[in-house]
Amino acid sequence: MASQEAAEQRLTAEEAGLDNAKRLQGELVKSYYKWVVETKKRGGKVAYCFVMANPAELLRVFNIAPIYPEITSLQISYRGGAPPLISLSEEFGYSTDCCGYVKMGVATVLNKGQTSIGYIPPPDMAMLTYSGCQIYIHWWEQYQYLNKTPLFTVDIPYVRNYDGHVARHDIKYVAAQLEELIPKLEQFTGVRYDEEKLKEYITLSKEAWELWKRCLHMGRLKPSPLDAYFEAIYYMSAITLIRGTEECINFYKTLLQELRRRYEENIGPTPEEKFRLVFEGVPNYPFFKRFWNLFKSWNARCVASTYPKVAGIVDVDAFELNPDKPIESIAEYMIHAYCNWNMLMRTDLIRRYVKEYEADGVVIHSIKSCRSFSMGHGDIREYLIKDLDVPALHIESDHVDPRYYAEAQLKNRVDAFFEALSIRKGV
Amino acid sequence: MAQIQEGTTPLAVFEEVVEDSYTTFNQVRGWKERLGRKALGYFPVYFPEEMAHALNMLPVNLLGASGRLPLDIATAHTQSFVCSITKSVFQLASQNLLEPFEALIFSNICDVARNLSGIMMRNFKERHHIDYIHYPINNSSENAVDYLEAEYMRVVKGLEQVSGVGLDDGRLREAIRLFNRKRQLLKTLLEIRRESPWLLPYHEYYTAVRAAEFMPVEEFLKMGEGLVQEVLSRDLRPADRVRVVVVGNFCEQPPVMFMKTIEDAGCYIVWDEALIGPRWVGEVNPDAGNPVRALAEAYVKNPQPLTVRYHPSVDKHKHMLEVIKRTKAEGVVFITPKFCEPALYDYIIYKHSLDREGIPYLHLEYEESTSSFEHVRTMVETFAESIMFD
Repeated sequence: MASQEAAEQRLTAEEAGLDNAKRLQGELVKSYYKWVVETKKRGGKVAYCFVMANPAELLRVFNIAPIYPEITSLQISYRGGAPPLISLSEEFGYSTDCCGYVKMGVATVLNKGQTSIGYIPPPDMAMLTYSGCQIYIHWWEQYQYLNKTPLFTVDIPYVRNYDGHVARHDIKYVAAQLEELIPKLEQFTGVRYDEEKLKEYITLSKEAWELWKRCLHMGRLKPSPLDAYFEAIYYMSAITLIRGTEECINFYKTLLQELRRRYEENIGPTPEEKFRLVFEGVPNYPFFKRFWNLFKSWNARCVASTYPKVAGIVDVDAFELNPDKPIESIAEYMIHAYCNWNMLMRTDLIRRYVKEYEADGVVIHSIKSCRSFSMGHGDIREYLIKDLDVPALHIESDHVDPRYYAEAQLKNRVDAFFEALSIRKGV
Repeated sequence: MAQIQEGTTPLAVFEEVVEDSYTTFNQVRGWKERLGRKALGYFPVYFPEEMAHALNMLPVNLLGASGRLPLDIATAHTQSFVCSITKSVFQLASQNLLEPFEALIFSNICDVARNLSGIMMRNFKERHHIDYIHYPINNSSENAVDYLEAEYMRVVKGLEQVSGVGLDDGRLREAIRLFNRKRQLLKTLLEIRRESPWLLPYHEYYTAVRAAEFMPVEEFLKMGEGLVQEVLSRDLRPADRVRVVVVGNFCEQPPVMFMKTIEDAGCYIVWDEALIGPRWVGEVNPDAGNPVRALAEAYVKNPQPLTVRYHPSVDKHKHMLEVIKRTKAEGVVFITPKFCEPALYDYIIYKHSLDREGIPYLHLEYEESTSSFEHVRTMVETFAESIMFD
């Protein structure tokens, strides 16, 4: 522990005042919710959308404000507000084995949008983009039966060629559905489709994605100026909530600047960088900071991770928005959602991260709620340990339900992992 | 072993087939050898079996080991909170018990089955041809049939390599006719349950429909038609039991004893979702110009709900009430495999329509390895009595 004591004398990014992007992110989230409520007041529509594979730029053309119940739920959960919502849904009939996001989302609608983080307008429509999560379908279907919420569907085939090749008929099918969606949205909103506007939003999105990619690539530096998991989870809000805007671009410009300064001044999220990790899986939100501390206390920094890319695997150029081919490029973007990749591709991405980011090990966090993310996590661990000789830790809890977070057990596992890693690294 | 002996009753044959379907697959080996076919195993719920048949392959529904294997290897490769059938199929493969199957097909029925295809691919790609069908969910889109036709053709291309036989329209039409007969036979068996459940106890019905998922279609038709005749000639009287619809057993299968306990505790199961996939698609047009497209249309345009397929214009509330009306059921027993999210969400949708109509229902959970049924008996007895004495 001597090195830990010595490390305490160095400043972290937070202590050195190089943590402003997180504060800015908080403000952006607040102004985003304000914008949603304002859009609704001004006669626009509110659409429930999923984080993965939503056509946010296209919806903006029709003056539709997207609400992401996944994000609403995680924010409520982050502030400790999940239990009453989960209880309400379980009293309503949902099983303990159902996804916590669904239960919190349904409870929010049952409570008519009143939540501990403010008013969330009920949906005028639900945008069912089926990519990477089967529960998306069942979730929106609940609203269809509960509130007669109209559903607009875009079916996105799974990337099932194990080498990552996407069949031509898949792209054609998704693009054709987007074309079919346009007149339906015109009719629903009374707003005419304007392709020039779509191109403009796509151009703005493209720039934001490019900046976000550069931020994520900073994890390759040694030491990494960011935690590309725990911090990236804050930073990903902008690309998810407000892409297609100048504000989004400005946010990532600020972040990039801050990360550069951190690197120049040899400052990071932990006093020093003793371990470089790749992180796979959804975090635990009710105890987010305590969960992070399990790794921070060992001076471990995540240098790459998968979850912050659920809105788009931009760092490996899985997709590229193209204003000249707006519909087709949105279709390709929708296909390449992280959980829409087959397990072989996901496993290989983690292998690439370990190699390219020179990581010491991989932490895999499975959550009870999400089989899409977690089913097969054991196989990833087997592959890393047995085929690649990469140390891997597989732990489990939940992303929103505090009942499944056993900190003492987690700490034992995490400490044992770092002890073994210390011996392996000779530090 | 695969040769049906003269004088053997259909039920005896079905029982032997089912016993072999858990872990040994010797019957499959025998049929392959005798008929000169390759074998294709598909993970539930649906696969166009006629396509495999036309490619000279034996389509077999992989239903897991039904509690007959420890799931230790599979548990290490999956996650704690997943259903048993997934682990069971992985365990079968890891012990090389799926050796008779040259091809394995998965599909987008749920997140667990989807990810299973990838980890099967990583671990067993040397032993099997593995593929995955993405069935459309935007089934009211005018592009859904085009898409599924192209998807079937993509899958066929891979299977042609395995079977060494090219897809021929004439053979596919012939296969569609055979499988239409199979679907009709499965429906006839279900209708017997609906009209006169005392003639065909549930465990006999189930043995027949489960055997249908393993046997070559021609042999099942011969045996199944024989069973129908024999059952209809039985001189049995109805008992005083409550007629129930059972919902939830569309993928992972409960132990036969679990279902038998429901009946023994005072019910007649007059409709259920056991192995619904093979009968669900209904009549396929064998005379359509393009038989692959006919299969795609049968899937996309089918108005019957299926928990694992979303269709924008399907009304599940209406469907549940229609099933109850058609079967004259007095209650519904929801049975959910542990950790099966699709079934748990449909439970909520169906439950609300039953609440509104004041129709009684009961919810039970199971795993394929469930071995104690006393709690099931107690709960179902109480449920049945509450209906009888209401």
